[in-house]
Amino acid sequence: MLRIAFSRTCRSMSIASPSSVSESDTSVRKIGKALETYLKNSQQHVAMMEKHRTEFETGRRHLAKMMSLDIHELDQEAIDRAIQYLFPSGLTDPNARPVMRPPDEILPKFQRFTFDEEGKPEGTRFFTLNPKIYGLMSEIGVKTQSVMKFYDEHVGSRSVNRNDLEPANLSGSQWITADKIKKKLSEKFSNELYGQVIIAFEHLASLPGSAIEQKFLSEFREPMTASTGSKLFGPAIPEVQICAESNKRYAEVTTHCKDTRATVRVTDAGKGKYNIDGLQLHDFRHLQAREILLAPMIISQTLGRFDVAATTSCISNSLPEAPNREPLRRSGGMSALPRAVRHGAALCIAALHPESTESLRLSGLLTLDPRKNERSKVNQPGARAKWIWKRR
Amino acid sequence: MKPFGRLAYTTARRIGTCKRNVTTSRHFSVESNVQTNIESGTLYEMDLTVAKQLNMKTHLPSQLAKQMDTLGEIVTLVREPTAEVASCMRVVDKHLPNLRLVLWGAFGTGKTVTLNQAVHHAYKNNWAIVNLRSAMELTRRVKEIEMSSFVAGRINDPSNAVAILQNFKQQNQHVWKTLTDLLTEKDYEWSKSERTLKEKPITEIVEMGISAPFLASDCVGAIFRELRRHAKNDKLKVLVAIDDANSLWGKTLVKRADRTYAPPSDLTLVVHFRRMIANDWTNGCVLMVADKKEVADARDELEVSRHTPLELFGEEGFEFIEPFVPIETSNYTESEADTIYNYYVSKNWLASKSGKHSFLPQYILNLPIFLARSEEGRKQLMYLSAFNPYYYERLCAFN
Repeated sequence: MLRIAFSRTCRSMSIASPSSVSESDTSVRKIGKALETYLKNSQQHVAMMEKHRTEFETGRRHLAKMMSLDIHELDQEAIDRAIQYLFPSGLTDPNARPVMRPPDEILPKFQRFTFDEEGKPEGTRFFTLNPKIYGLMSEIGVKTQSVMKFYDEHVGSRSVNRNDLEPANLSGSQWITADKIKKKLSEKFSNELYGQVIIAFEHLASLPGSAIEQKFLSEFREPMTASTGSKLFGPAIPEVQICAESNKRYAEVTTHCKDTRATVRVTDAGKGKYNIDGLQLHDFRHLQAREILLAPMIISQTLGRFDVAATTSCISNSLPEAPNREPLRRSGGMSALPRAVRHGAALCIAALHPESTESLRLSGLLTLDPRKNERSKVNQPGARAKWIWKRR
Repeated sequence: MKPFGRLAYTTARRIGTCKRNVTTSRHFSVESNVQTNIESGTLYEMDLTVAKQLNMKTHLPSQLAKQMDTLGEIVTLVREPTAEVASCMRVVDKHLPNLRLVLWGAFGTGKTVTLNQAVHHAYKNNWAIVNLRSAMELTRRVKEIEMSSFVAGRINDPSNAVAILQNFKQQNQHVWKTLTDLLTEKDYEWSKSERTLKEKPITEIVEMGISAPFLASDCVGAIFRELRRHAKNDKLKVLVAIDDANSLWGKTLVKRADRTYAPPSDLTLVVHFRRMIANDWTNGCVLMVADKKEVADARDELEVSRHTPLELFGEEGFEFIEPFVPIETSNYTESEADTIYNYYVSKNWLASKSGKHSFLPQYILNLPIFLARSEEGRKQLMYLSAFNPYYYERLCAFN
């Protein structure tokens, strides 16, 4: 009796209509506390999602009206643009900026259990508490068996492709991280389990003949990140472009140091020439400045290969002008301007000459220096300095 | 990066100097090249006795003079401007008004060195030499002044005048015999008791000036006048080499009685040198250097100012020296830098071979100081100096 009631409840859950729930409530009196909580949460989640969906749809309509667009024209891209326009944000982390997306995409998912006709949980792995990950392990096991069998049967014969009898080619990629597997299977599991899965995967991949399971394996592989772009603080390594006129490769990036903003363009196959606001290398009379400017080339051992062109400007001049303040005439001094150019040049060289990316990063040339001149305080002669106290 | 680099340079250099020994094989010309073959891009060694006579130690830039002291020889790179000056000097003739050349270029590109090479070239060709170490000394480094008795309002500068005459005497020992044969045009009455009679050797004027400082300023004018006259008569050729010549039209630090600064045209020596520059005489060559030190602040590492002759001589000076032949000095080309590099390597002036100091991390070993003699070090020296001769010498030196 109880079981049937279970199954009814669960089936009604999948339809998720409030009326059927109330009906099942009347028919079933005694259910476990855990199940009761589960059912309650599930209903709440369904209701909440429904509410958010309608809200999103209403919001979309309003947004379309505000942006004077047709509702059909307002796809997700247009929404993003509109949000960026309506709520300009100075926050640097993209995750911290305002966003408007369908609730299914951004709200946390609710994990549902599936039950069979009799109300039993579907699949015996339910009782392992981690059905998905154990399922994956068993799948790997089955595939390992079949690969070994395939190899034993076909080794030496000409009926199959030679390449199929070799280990899978997994060069240039690595196993996906535990977090990604968790997301993929939508299930939480311990690190020990992750380790076991990876061991199983490694064993399968090492077998001769695992090439036939290449597709399965590559689902759980990700390309090795060659660029350190995601890890860099400050502007990322730019894309390599090709100049239409000279047909040379170049990269361009904008960066800053202190109050100096520099747009740096590095061209490949050059002569080692510098052009910084019309100044050449020998116009920087202090050795320190030249050492700073040439540091990326010295580190990457590409002296005389790249041409660097940079234009610099003073950041505080571009800000809304404070009263009583003359705009600064020059940008950067003996070290700030070269350092801004150095950071830009190092990023561009990392793009044009990827072999040296790692050494540039280790030398700290790819990292933005975020330090700024501290503002002076009211009633003080400087940022920290105080007027001398005097007994009057 | 920098202080570390300096230290390491120092150690590298010390090793080099300890090992220094006299290299017998010379890869550059020692032979004098008279008039014809001045080949740019070759190293040229000056005879030490000649250099002493021409007073190179004070006339060359101090850093270079120090290097010469250390290496025990005077070797300079003959570059395009030198060849140009030499070819200009070749056309000097008694029928042509004196040829005015202006050396100009960025800081450290070899204006003064070119000037001194030209002086040496004049020496080789038995020209009379009037060489001024820096015109700025006449306007800014005036120790004592006295009013001229010859022209009212002129300011005499005895110490500098004596120095000029002594330098003239020293630098012209090779033509001193010729100069003693040349005779004065008229009676010079220096003071009530001192006079130089007509038809006497013009060297007597020099001796007079050296022995009597209060007459020296006027003696400078007189000897210049005689030189111009004899050059016109094709008795000898004269090279007038003035470093920082634009200072003759610059500002002065000489104060008059009313505590205002005297304009350079009030200084006797400046006037004499301007007369030497004027092209109303023939059979001579006037070599001037337009240098930025007149207008720029040496301590300002950021300002990039112009260094063209018009900017530096100013309207007045530019009008005075026109027409002239501008000769630009420029940074090294790669081959020139290589020549100097090879010279330093052969003298063991660059000593460290490669990064064998295992206790240091690799990225420090990549700095030029640890691999001066390797290919990477050669490149780094070139680019860190930005191909500028002065910076190149500074990078390779250890003081």
